[in-house]
Amino acid sequence: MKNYFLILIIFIIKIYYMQSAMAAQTNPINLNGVLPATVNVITSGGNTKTTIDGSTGALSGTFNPAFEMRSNTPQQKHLTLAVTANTSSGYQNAVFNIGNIKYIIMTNAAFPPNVSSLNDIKTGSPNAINNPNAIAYIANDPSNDTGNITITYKSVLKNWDLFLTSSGNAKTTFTISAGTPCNNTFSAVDESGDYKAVVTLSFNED
Amino acid sequence: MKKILIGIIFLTILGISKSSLAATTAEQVITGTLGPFRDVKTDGGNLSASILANSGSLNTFINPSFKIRTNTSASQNLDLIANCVCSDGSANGFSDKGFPAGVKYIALAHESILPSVANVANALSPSPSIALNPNVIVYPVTGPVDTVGQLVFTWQAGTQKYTGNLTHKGETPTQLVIPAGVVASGTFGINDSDGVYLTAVTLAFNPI
Repeated sequence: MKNYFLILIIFIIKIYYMQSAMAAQTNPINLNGVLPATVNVITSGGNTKTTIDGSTGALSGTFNPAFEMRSNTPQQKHLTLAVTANTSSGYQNAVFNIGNIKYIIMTNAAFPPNVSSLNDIKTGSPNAINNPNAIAYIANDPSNDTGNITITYKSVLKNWDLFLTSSGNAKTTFTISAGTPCNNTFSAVDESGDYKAVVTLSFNED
Repeated sequence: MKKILIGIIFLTILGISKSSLAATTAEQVITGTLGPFRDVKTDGGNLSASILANSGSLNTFINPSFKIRTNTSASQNLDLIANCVCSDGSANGFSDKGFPAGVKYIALAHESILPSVANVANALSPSPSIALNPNVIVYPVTGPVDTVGQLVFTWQAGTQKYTGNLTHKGETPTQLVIPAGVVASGTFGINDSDGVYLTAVTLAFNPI
């Protein structure tokens, strides 16, 4: 009898602990992960180097730096594509247009020109002797490679607005075709060496 | 419970990190490499004059002109030479007549009745003899025009030519001048046939 009673006590205790353990597994806890709106932009290859003919100033190859943008929100996102070039006074906007044709200016890396060289070219009626170490080339509008970008040239700010119109990936390519430079921006006063421009694509805060 | 809370905090931190790490700007640098360039072109000037038959003097100056172009201000050398076509080859048309610090001379050779190399050498020697230099007439020259700080010519006594040192990018003009007037003594005589007398003046960059 005493043994039966002891077995019953042990059984009751075991059941109690089993219930306790099962209760701990089934209590509901809600985990909330808040995914913020995230955007990013990265370079996506393209040709960024070529040679310039010493007698004509013509580009032997095409520049086509590309960028890939990502957004996880369907809300429209605003970016700016800008081009700058170094001068003796630091980097300056290197975009201008004559009518509907847009140009970018490349400057000598070892002998940065004065800002006056860029300003002379931006007048649209340059005099080669007044723009040493700066050469301008026709630039195409950035492309809409993925079909979800709206692109607009800003003639006042001299850059391009890009609007992502859907979430996901988007890609754009900025092309400067091979060929001759803008008239009167190339001459023998352009020192030999590397000519550079910086193409930047940035998300805006708005 | 404590472990779950730590997990939530970790995930939250991870989420914030991802958001702040996302790049919102990307840039590409495009580079075009402009190679060295240099050339020389003729740039007009007066290239002809009449030779007075009784004295051999030029009735007007001759000034062959050149335009040099290069896209570097690094030091570069050029040669300015004169060349006479002769019956037995070609002859240097410049000379200092053995006086390097003095006047320099240029020889013109008959275009169709070609003198010999020896005729030209005699005409450009310190003591020319009319009998030994038929169809060669020599004139003093004004050295090629320097542009201080950009292009300076130096007479080379050993090779009897001018060398120019160019330290200017862009366009640099220069010219050689043969003044009107006096012919070099002992180089004009009755045995110089009538006709056209000429010499080729060449300005060229030295090979790099």
